[in-house]
Amino acid sequence: MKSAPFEVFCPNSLDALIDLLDRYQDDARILAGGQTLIPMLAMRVASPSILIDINQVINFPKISAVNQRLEVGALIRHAELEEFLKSYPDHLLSKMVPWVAHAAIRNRGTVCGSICHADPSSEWVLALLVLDGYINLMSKKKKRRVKAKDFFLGPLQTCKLTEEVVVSVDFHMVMDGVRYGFSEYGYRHGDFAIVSAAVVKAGNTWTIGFGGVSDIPLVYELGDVDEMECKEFIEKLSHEVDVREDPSATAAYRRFLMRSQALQALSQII
Amino acid sequence: MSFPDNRHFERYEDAALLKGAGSYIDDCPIKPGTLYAAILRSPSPHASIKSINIDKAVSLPGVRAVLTSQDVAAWSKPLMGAVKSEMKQFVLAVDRVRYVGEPMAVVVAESRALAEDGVELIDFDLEPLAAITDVKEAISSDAILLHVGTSSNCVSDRVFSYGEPDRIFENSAHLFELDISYPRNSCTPIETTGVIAEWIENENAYEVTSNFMGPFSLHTVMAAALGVSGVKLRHKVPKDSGGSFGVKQSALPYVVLTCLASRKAGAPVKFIEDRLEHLVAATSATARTTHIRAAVDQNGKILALDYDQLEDCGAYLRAPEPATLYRMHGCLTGAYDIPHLKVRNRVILLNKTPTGLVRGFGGPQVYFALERLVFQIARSLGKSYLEIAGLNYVKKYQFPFKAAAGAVLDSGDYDKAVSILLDSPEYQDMLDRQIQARKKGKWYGIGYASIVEPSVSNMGYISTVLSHEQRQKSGHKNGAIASATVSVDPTGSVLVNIASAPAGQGHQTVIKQIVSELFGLSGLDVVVNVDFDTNKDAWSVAAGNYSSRFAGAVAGTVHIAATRLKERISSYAATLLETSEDSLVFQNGYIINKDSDAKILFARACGAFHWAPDLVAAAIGSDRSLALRETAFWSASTLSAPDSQDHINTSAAYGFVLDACGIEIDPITCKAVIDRYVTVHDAGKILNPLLADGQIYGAFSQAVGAALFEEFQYSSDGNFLSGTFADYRVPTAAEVPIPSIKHMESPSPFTPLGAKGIGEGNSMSTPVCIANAIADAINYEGIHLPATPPKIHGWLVQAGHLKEEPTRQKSVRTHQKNMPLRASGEIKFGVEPGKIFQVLLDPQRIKKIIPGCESISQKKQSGDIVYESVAVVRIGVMKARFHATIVLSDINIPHGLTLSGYGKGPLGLAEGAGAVDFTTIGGVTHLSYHYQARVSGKLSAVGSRLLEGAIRLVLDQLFKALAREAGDIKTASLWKRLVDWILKRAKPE
Repeated sequence: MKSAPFEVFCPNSLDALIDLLDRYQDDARILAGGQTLIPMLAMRVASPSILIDINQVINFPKISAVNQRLEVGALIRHAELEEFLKSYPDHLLSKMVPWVAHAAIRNRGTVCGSICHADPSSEWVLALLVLDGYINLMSKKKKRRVKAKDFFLGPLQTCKLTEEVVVSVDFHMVMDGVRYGFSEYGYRHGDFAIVSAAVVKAGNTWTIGFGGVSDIPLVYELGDVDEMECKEFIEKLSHEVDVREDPSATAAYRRFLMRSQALQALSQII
Repeated sequence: MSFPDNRHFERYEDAALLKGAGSYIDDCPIKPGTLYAAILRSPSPHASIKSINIDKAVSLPGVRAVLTSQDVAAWSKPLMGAVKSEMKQFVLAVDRVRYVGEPMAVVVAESRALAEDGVELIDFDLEPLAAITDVKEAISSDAILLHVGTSSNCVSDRVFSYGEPDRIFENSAHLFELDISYPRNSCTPIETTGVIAEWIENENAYEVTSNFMGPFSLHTVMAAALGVSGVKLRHKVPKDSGGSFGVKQSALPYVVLTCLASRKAGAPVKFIEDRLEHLVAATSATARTTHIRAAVDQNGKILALDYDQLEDCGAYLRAPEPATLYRMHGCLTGAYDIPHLKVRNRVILLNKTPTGLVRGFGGPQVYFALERLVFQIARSLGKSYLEIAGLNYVKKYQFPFKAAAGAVLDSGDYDKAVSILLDSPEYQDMLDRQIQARKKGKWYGIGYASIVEPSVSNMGYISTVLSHEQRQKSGHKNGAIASATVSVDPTGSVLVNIASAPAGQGHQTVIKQIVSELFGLSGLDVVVNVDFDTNKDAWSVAAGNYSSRFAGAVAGTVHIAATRLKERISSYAATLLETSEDSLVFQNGYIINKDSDAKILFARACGAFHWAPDLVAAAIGSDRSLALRETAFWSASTLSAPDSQDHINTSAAYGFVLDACGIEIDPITCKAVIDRYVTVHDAGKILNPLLADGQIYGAFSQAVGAALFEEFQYSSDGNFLSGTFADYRVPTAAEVPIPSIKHMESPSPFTPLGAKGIGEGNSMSTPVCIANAIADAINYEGIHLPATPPKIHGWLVQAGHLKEEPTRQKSVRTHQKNMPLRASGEIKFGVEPGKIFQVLLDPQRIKKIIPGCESISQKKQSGDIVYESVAVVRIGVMKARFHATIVLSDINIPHGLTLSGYGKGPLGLAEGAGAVDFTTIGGVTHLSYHYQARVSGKLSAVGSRLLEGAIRLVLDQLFKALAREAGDIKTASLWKRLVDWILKRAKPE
C-alpha cells in the first residue's frame, strides 16, 4: 500500500491556496487532517497527482460562537472542537463528539475535512443538516455560502467544485429553550455508525435526523406535535422510509435501530 | 520434576519489544541491490486469463523485471498437496484465476512504490466464469469445475466407521441431529508475511529469510516446488515475529514466489505483504458445513455420533490442507466416551481464498457442531448441560483413554473440572444474575462448552485423508520430532537453540526458566537463540510453531538435552568433589557436594571440558563424550501412523477446557453482551502461570472476535468484501471482557515435562459456548457465527420476541446471484423519447454523458451498438478510471432498450446491465430503469459498505447528463429535488 506518485504544495495563505486550486482543479486534492485521505492514497483508491497541504495556511477562521451560530474553520481538529464544546455540554455537537472515530483520530482529523468527505455515517454531516448548517466555500472567482441540504448530494459526494475550498462551516447554536439528544450505535468502540439519531426540540418544533440509514442523512421537521406524536411519527417512518442494506447490516435491523436510537435520543430530552 | 515457587518468571522478551528494539523481518539487514516486489492480483473470483501484457510495466523507469506465469511454469513445479488430484497449483495463476486476490504477476522494482506503479501498468484481459461460493453449490451436478481434469469440485470424499454406528443409530431411544455452518475467519496477526529471497545462481540454490512459522514439513513442499533439494533452499527465520496464530503458514507460496522473482530479476528481492493483500488473499480458517447426528439412550448417554462434514478449502488445496479436517480426527468424540462413530469428510474447492492454519485449527469447527448438539440434547431432555456432559465424560480411571477414532487421551479429570466450576463464586454469581435478569424479563442465557484440546500434532495425521491402500504406497508417516540443542561455552554460560519460530509467546522466557533452574544458574546466564536457520540448526519436519507444541514438545526436548548435559557435567564434578553424582546440587552458580558443602563454580567445572579435556577424560573415562553440547530429538511414543482401520492418534497430549458464560442480549441494539465468563483449564503441568494465562486471554479474545464480530464476507458472485479492518471487525479491548480463569493440572504421561499445550483451548471452546448462551437467552436454535446484532435481531424476530419489520417489495425482478447490486428508479423528462434516443445513438453525444469520458469509438456488432470508451468515475476524492464497453441492445424506439456496460481498471471490474423503458403520460416522458450490477476487486474489498450508493450516484450522474444533452434543461435543473424519490431500490429477496 504505497501511494501513486504525487507532488506536494504547502501554501501558507488562503490566496495561495485558491490559486493552486484554480490552476490544478481536478488533479489536486486538499490534505488537512489526512485521516481519510492518507489511507485512500495508500490503498490507491485515490491517486491525485497534486496534494495541497493546507496545514500551514494561517488565515482560515478558527472557532467562534457568535449570534447564535457556531463557526468552525477549515483546520479545526475534532479534538479542538471537543475542547471548545466543554462550555456547552448539553448542545448536540457536544453529545456527538465522543462518537467521532477514536481519540487519536480526533487529534488530527478536521471537522471540515470530515464534512467534505460526506460519509453517510458522519456525525458532523448529520449535525449540519439538523442544525440549519451552512458550508462556506471559496474559489478564485467567488465565495459562496451553501445550505447543508444543497451541499450533500450522495454518498461521499458534495456540490463542492474542484476549484473550491471549504473555508468554514457554521451551525445553529442555541441553548435557551432548545433541548438536544443524540445516540448512535456502531459495533465496536470508534466504529462508524450503523444508525445514528439526532433530535432537536425547540418549543413544540422537533427536528429529527438519522444518519447511516441512507446515502445522505434523512432529516424531518415536525411542527406543533407532542412527545407521543413524535414517537408515533418515528415508528411510522421506520416502517416506510427506504433503508440501506449492505454487508454491515440488514435493512430490517436498521429499521429497528432507527427506533431504538431515536428513542434513546428522545430520552435525553424528555 | 518440581519447579521453584517463583514460576511467575517474568517475560524476558518484552523490554526490547516494547521499546521498538524487536528484530522483525522488515528490520533484517538486506544486501545492497535488493529490490522490492509488488503483486498483480486478480480482481475477479473466477475467470479465464485471455491475455496479460507487461510491456508498459517493464518499461517504467525503476522497474527491473516482471515475473509471469510463463517464468513460473518454466522454473517451478506445482505445489504438492496431501491429496492426489488433477488440481494444479502454481504460485502464479496459469490460464485461470480462481479467487479474488490470486497472484497473477510480480513486478520487481527499486522500491515498493515503484513496483506498485508497475502493477498498475499491466494490461490484462479476463473472461469471467461463474463463481462458486457455497459448498453445496460446488458439488451440484451442473456446477462449473474449478480445475480442468478433475471430475468434481469435491477432491476428497472419505467415509470412516468405528464400532457399529449404523446398528446403534437404528436402535437408539433418541435421535438428535443438527445442521451447522462455521464461517471463514482468521487471526490477523499485526505483522504480515515478509520474505527476503535470493537466487544463488552459481549453486543453483535459494536463500530465504522469512517469518514463516512452520510446520517445517512444508519446507519440503517449497523446495520441491522450486526444483531443488531441501538443503539447497536455505531458510532463515528472524528472532521476532509479530504474531502468527498459524496464519504465517501462508507464507509458503510467497517464499516460492519471491525466490522466483529474485531469479527473474537477478538480484535479491524483498516482499512485505500489506494489510489489504493479507485480508484478501493470505489465508482463512476453513468454513465448514456439518450435519451431525447423535444416538442417545433414554438417560442422555450418547452411544454413537455421525459427522457429515463439507469443508470449504478455497480455490486450491494448499499444503497441509485438508489438515483442518484431520487434525481433530482422532478426537472427534471430544471429551466423551462414545464408542461408535461414523464420519464422512468431503473436501470442497470453490472460488475463495485457499485455507490454512488458524489458531484452533479444526477444533472450532468440530466443537461448534458437537457442543451445540450436546447443549440441545440437554435442553430437549429437560436436563442441565453439566448433567448430560458429566454422564458422557471419559472418567479419570479410564486414562489413558483410546477414543473411537484413535486419539489416546493421555490424562485428565473432567469431573474435577466440573466441581471447580460449580465451586467458583464467579459461576454462582452468573447463575444468580440469570435469575435476577429473567425476573425483569431480560434475555439472559447461560451457555457451556467442554472440549478436549489437542497439542503436539502427529505429523502422520494428514495421511488419514488417504485410504489404507494409498498410505501403503506412499509410505508410513507419523511422529512429531522436536529438537533442541543445549551447550555450554568456555566461559560457562549456557546457550539453547530451538527451532520453535516463536511469535510472541515467550519461548525464550520459558526455556531460560527451565534451563536456569536445572543448572542452578540465574536466568541471565542462559541465552536462548530462536533465530532459525535450516542449514545450521537441528530441525525436522515438525519444527516450527503451530498446534501448541511448545510446552509439550519443545520445552520437553530442551529439558531432555539439558539433562543429558547435566549428567555429563555431574560425572566430572562428582570426581572433583569426591562424591557420587546423586549427592550433587546445582545452585546459585555452583555445583555443591551436599554432604560436605564442598563446591565448585559451575563455570569452572564446565571450563575444563574446553580447556583441559585430558583431565576430564581421565576423570570420567575416555569412552565418554567430552562435548558440552547436546542435541536431543524427541517424539512422543504414542504417535503412530494411522492403522489399517483408520485409527489415528492425532496428537500426543490432550488438555481439557470447560467454559460457562452468561450473556445478555441488549434490547436496544440486539448485541450479545458477555456478562460473565468462567473458563476452567487443565493443561497438564503449567510451566509458567503468567504465560499460561496470557495464552488463555489471547485465545479468548480472538474467539470472541470469531463468535461475535469477524467474518470474511463474500458477495454471492464471489467478490471479497472484507478488505480492511473497518469491515473485518477484530474486537478491541473495549469489546472483550476479562474471563475468570481456573487451573488444574493432570500431568501428561507422554511429554517429558508432563506439560500440554494451552494456546488453542478457548479458540475451540469460546465460540460455541457463546453460541449456546445466545441460544439459551433467546430460545432459538439456529445460531451461527458471527452472532452479530443484525443476525440476533433476525433471530429475535423468528423466535417471536420482536415483531417483523415490513418489507417493501417493489421490484418484480428476482435477485440474480451473479449481479447482486441493484438500482431502480424513474425519471421524468420534458422531452420526447425520440430526442433521448438520438443522444444514445450518437457516439459524439453519448460521449458527453459518460462520466469523465476521455475517448469513445463505436463498433458494429450484429444489430447491437457497441461503444468502447475510457471513462473516469468520480465519487468523492476517488477517481476510478475504467476501460469501458457499453452495449445498447434490444433497441426498440421509442419504447426502450437494454443498456449494459463492462468496465475494468486498476480499482477493479464493474459490470452492469439494465432495462430502460419509456412511457409518455400527458406529454411527460417517464424513463424507468432496473439495473443489476456487480463490482469486483479493490473497490469491492474496501468499499462494500458504500457500493450500492456509489452505483446510484453514477447512474444519477449519467441520467442527469442525458437529460441535459437531450435538451431537457428544465429536468436538469429540477434534478436536485428529484434525487430523493428518483433513486429507489428494489429489495433483495
